[in-house]
Amino acid sequence: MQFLMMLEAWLIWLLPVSAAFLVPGLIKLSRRVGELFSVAVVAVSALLTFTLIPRVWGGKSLTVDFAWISLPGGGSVRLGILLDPLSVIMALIATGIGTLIMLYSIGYMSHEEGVGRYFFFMTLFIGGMVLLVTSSNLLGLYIGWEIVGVCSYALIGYYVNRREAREAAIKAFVTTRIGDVLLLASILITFASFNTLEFSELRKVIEDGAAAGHVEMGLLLLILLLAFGGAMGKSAQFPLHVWLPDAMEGPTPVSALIHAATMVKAGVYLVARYSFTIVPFEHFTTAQLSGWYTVIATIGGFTALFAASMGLVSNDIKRVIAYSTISQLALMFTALGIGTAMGWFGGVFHVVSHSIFKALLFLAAGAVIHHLGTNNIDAMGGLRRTMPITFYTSMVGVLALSGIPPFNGFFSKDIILGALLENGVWLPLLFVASASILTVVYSFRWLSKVFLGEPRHHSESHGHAEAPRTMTTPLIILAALTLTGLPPFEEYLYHYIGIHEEVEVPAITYTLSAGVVASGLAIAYVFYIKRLWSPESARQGPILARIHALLVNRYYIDTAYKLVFVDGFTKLSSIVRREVEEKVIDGINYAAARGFQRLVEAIRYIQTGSSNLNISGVAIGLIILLLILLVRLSGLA
Amino acid sequence: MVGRWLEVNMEIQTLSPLILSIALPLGFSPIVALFGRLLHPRSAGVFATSILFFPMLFGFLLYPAINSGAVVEERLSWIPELGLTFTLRLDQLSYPFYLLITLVGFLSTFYSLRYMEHEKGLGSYYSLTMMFITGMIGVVLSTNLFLFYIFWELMLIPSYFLIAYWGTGNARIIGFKYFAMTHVGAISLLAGIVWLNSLYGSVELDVLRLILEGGSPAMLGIATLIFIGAAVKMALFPLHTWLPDAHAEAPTPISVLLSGVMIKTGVYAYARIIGGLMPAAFQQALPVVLPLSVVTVFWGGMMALVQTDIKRILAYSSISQIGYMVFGLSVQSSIGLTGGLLHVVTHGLAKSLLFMAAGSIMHSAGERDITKLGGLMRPMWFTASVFLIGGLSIAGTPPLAGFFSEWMIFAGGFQANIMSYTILAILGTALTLGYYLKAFMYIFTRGEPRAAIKESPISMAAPMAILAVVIILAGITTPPITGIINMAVAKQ
Repeated sequence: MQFLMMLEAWLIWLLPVSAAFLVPGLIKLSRRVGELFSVAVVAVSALLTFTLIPRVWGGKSLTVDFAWISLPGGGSVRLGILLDPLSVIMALIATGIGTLIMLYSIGYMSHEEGVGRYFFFMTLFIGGMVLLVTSSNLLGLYIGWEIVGVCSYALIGYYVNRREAREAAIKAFVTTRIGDVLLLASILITFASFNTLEFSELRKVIEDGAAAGHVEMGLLLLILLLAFGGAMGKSAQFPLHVWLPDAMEGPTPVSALIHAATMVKAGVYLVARYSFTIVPFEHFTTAQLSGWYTVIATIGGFTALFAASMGLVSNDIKRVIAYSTISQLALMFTALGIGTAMGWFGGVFHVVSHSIFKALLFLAAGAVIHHLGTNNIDAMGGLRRTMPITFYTSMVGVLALSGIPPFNGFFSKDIILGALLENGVWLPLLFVASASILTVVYSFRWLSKVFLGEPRHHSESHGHAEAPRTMTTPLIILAALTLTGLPPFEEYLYHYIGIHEEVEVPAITYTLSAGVVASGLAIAYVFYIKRLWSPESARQGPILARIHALLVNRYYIDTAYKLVFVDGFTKLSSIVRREVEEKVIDGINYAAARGFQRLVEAIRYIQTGSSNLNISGVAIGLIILLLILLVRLSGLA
Repeated sequence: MVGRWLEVNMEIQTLSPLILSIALPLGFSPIVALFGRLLHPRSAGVFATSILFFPMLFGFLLYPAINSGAVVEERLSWIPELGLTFTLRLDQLSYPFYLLITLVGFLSTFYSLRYMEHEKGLGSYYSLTMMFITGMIGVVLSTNLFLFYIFWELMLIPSYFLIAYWGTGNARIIGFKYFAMTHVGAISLLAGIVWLNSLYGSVELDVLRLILEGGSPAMLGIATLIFIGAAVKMALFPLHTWLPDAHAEAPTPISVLLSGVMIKTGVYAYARIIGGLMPAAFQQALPVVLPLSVVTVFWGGMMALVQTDIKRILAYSSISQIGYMVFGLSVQSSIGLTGGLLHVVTHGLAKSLLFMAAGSIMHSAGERDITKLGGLMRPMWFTASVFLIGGLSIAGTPPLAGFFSEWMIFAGGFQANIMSYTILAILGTALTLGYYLKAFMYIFTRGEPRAAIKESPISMAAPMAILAVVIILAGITTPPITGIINMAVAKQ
């Protein structure tokens, strides 16, 4: 009956998952009712999550579960909910930001047909994400992980009539599946080695095992690295980042949901969960697991810079923000990869900040696309006057993303930079600092091209062109939420998680932050705000032109992957089919058949029907038989 | 509630359900043929479907008994001179197979009612289908190898006629290829059985089990012969070439039975005879069987990727999935074995669903080449949904049924410490996902929507809906059948 006592904990994912199946039917009956129903379901789920905060305040955790799948030998896999500060905050992001995005969707999708499918998958998406972050064991996590994958596939490919959308959907699903293979391998090796999948039990088993010397560090490292492989797929880290920019083919609220509330945060959550519950700092020193932490911090740092560089040149209003997502996720990984409580806190804090400002930026971009019907930022401009709400909220988003106070991005980024400095993680720090400069540059480039200057589009409405209220309300709420980085909130978050160490940002960090922002702003000011020097003329030089081509073509990585893994593999399969399957294997079959036929042809002349031949055959056979018998009998005698 | 179930269950056992589930379809099959000839052809279908309902019903009714660990056995004296009794037994190992055969048998015959309505000779068609299903039921219920072999042939002969006379393409040749190749397998199986009998003077599984416990010098030879017989039926690489032809060109309801169910009898033979009787030989064969199974996974997957015929894609996908079942059965770990047997059921359900969906596409659009299809998402949204559910389930996507069998197979692989093969096998699921998504895109989402095409009729959609619901629910509620399989695994 423990199950019923914690009903709200189950409902936060069970409610959206099961209600999703009602949505298409309701929308068929009445579109408005169905839409409002799905928003309401997610909102209720968000409220329930909110009420769970006091239960976990200060780092408390509790588990509710029951035996689910029986295994041979009497064991079982359990289905359960783990409530702790990490899972509740992640669930709150998924459902809370999710509610705003769902509300926004009503306005954004108002001209589309077939929204039953859309709202079904959106609701299921949020439910799957909550399952992922609240599961008390790795199998439940993986189930949520895959539900999220399926929903992203269906939603990225929502515009089925567009070839890019169809291909992007498959690309996203299959690329993340490569990561999932690694994660599943990690989970199952864990199961095979420790015979449990529960987070809480795993910690104990690994800890005791390591103390007694049963658990090899090499094996543990393999498990952790494979799990990080899964995180790299879902959270689009180099070299599995290719799916994310293409995922922009989905409707804009889907991009917001994927980037801000669900999916890509799953990878960060996974790593955070491992270093919070399974191999926590208190029990495993960073030195013991240095291999794991170094890989995370390095890949994270590199991806941060790598993705930000591509964000500099993209002309698609959504893709710029998409590259920014990859880069910001990488920042979170770098923070987690420091392997200290402060780094961990910075990473999780940045998850929260990023969810808010990234949802804001996407929804603002959606409002622009909704108005202009294009994604090309070169065909925008001057929207500052016609879309004031969108402009000012976007401005807040850009400031938060760039890490300018008093918005939340500043505070979380500051802690990350502080932790990097304090622990002397120099290479990732270098990457992250340069990435942050680029972040300021591309953010202001984006803002300037979309909203400032003279209009470069031919919109009919010259006056007020603001989006409907279902779309602007979420924008305003999100813009207000970017203030949650201010000191009291930061303190709250800190006490809520219940970290035992002091988190103090060294004074030098502020200098670094200020330097980063100032240099970014200076570049942006020269190129994009005052346009003293046009980027077009800058890239006339041979070297810069080549760099520009490299960036526009995304370092040719997508092209190479397609050549090798898609076309190459298909070609290989065709060759194998033609040369081996049809010629060799089938060939042997047919050769056997022909050989048999020839044999039959050869001996069929015996059966000529001529009695003379037949009778003599019988006679010869009889004689041979008698001879054999005679020999045997004489032998016996 | 449980008490009442048990009561019903006791009553049902006095009816001898096992003998009935063979006698009913076999006995009524000539009558069905007669019906088709004398009355309306459709009456034959209705009659056959209603007869095939009973074995399935027995399967459901016997669930509590089997789940409580009991074994249902029925005995008739048969040829006393040879010491042969006609004994049928439903135990925890055969129950999942029995349930799958009878469920899919019933649903596919029901599906035939509409799908086959314009074909000729429907009386004979239904009559042969019933014999085919009887053969499969008999294989999993037999307790001696002689009877096992008779049913094994009873399954082959009607299916040959079904392919050769109601099939598409070059049906006679393909039917012949099917017959010849699987018959070579059957002969190998027979040779193994005869060898066993000549050594130990018995073909009773129980007797052999006791005798063989001590081990035997000829065991590896016997096991090889029997394994070849089973491998041909399963279509394990490189003995698989009959399958794509036969499964693709058979009439769709028969493809459902062939791919969804029949090839699983090979898995049954492998589990029952080799795994159950000759564990030592089984272990010796692993260095060969394990790589073969992984090769089969990738071979089937790669071939499926480059096919353009919708049914051929599904047929190659079956080959690939057989690789997973054999892998699970061969890893020498109880959880892997559970996974392998569970995969028989989950793949059977999903593949039956997919073939039915393919049939529904062919029925509505009149086209089976995926490069010429497209735009069916709008007009055939139901078929599109079930196709996606089936494909995702086979690609091991939770929370669908296929995931639960696959993760157990892989967990078994890691438990047995065969890392590299297992990681390869997991990687195979990405390939599976790739070709299903590709097929889905070509059939449903690519191209202009075709409004003129109609969704298939209710009588074809209903079996698909049932299978899709079972696949979703089986994902969430794995315990019922897993418990039974666990008991079977414990006995092995």
